[in-house]
Amino acid sequence: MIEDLAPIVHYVAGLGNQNIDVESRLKLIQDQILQLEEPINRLRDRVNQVSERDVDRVKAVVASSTEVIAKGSETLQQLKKSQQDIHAGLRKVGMDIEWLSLHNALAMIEAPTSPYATLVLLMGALQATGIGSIWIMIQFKEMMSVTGLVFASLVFCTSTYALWLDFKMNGYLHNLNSFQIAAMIREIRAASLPSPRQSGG
Amino acid sequence: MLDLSTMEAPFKMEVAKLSHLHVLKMLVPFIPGVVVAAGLAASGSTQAHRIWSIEIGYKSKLALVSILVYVLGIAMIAVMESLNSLVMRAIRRPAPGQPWENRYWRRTASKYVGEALSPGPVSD
Repeated sequence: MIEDLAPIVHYVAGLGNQNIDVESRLKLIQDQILQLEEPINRLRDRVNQVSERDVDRVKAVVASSTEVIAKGSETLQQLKKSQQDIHAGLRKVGMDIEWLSLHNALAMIEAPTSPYATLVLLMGALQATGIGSIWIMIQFKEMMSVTGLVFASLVFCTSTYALWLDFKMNGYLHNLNSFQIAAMIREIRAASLPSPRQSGG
Repeated sequence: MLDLSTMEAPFKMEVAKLSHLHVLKMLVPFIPGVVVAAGLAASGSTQAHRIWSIEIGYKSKLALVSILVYVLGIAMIAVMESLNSLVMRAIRRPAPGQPWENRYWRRTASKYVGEALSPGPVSD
């Protein structure tokens, strides 16, 4: 069940690079509980067997109980630590999901356009023109010209390279949330500046 | 009976509000369209001659050719954009972190939405 759930949680939270291993930690706690359960059961059996008059056997049981209690408290400490680790891990997952929700919601605010948008548009058009010209020259032999083919290829390669650079830069800007940050700063500054009516008295 | 004079268009285009980028976006398909259409016309393509020999008025022919040129340009740009997107996504390196893990973004977002709506401390 948990192994089915973990990939979904990772997917939803977008936490593919983080590894909060809930399954193995829960298994560890389960083992520790079983470990604790066994001596406690043994102790209970012994207590049931001992009568009040049998002092020697009572002493032996007390000694055994002390050992079991020491072992049990040690195991309980480990359980407590595991439980705290899981709690911290789940808290982080929950917090990340909240940040992710906010990130997605803020994607709806109107972000400024890239300063290179015009250039990219023109490069896209040039790339299509280059490939169209090459196609015409290959399709219709009478239009074939080595100079034309070289020129069209150069136009195509140059515009493709420019588009690749823009794609890379957009990747960085997206990863740094630059457009969203710029839009938020613009609105925060607009809200903090006094309105003309207020400043006018 | 329908009164056409009182009918409103299903959408309104406020030309004054269009940015130069929007205008450019609308005009840019003409660049590849014109080049390819001119190439087709100059090459003596039978399709080009067939379109030009349709029996309609000269202005109608010009309008038809303009529309075809524009559609051809849009199609070429769309095909190239799709190919670019496919190839570039395939060869780009994966991003080192997630966008919402950026601490500066978290700080700005906290300030933007206010403390009550902020998911938590930025350092978390």
